[in-house]
Amino acid sequence: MKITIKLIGRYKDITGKQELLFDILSGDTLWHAVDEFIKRYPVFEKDKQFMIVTKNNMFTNLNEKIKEGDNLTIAPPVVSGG
Amino acid sequence: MKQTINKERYKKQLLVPEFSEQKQQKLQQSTVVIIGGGGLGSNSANLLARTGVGTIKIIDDDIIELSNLHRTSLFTEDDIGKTKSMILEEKLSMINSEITIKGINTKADKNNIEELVHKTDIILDGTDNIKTRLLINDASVKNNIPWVYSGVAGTIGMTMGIIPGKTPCIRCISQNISSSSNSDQGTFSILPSIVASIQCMETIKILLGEKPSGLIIYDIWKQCFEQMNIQKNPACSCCGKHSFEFLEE
Repeated sequence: MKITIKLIGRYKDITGKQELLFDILSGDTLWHAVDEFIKRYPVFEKDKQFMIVTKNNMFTNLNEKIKEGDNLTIAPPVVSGG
Repeated sequence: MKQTINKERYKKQLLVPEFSEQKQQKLQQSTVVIIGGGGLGSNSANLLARTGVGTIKIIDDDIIELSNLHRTSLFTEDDIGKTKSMILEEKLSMINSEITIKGINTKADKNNIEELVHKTDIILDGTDNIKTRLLINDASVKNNIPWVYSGVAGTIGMTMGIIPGKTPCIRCISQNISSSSNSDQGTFSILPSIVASIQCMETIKILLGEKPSGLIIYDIWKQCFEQMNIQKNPACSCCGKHSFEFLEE
């Protein structure tokens, strides 16, 4: 199945895309989506553990499976300077 | 107890349709604690003092350095070497003598944070590290006190108003939070004042009983705002399961 992932912030700026379309197999988890994103854009590898990933507007455990129709969003990590 | 507000001082903001004399009164009766008096905290303290928040406590044990001046608005070269919290108390008291400003020269940690935020209406994040933010988050959720997260790095700022039990907390939005700070990539000078402005607006809305606007992300270089309306995570170890590991570690 195809799934659309909305990109936020510098992910959108650097990729030049608002959304990405991925092929997802039944049973794939959110980690798969993150891995696919990193595979396409290795420049974001260092963010991998810290990205804000939401499914249907809720942060979810990345081991959770993706279903058809889910709305996924990937945002850069929380910034922590002051 | 009802306190009289000085209508002359606030006359321009009292004309704003979204605002009112009752709301000004509500701000006058409010107490905020700002943890951190640097780029974010000093700008937020300045804005809230001018807006008329009745009691502002600023917690910081750092001294002012030359490298602070580019992203702060109240400190001058003469203040270098002096304590941030005390200088803020002194200068903000001169800006608005009708409110109470208290500088507290200490570092918030797991042993004192609950006492520092006791009886406050809201906590503002002016820190520069994730460890203290996670501590604020625990103290906020445990004691049912709203807080407003803000962070800056490079050209990016983030803000999120957090109301325990109603909105997601900081641990709802990420399973791992990077411990890197602005020292890793710097902060462009103008960014903290803009993010502090957004933080203060979210603070005022929460104090007035309005809903915060979710996670707000601002890129100063691209002049681009984004907003994420993330929902509360029922499985969140902090606000979902009431585990306050950063207060207890």
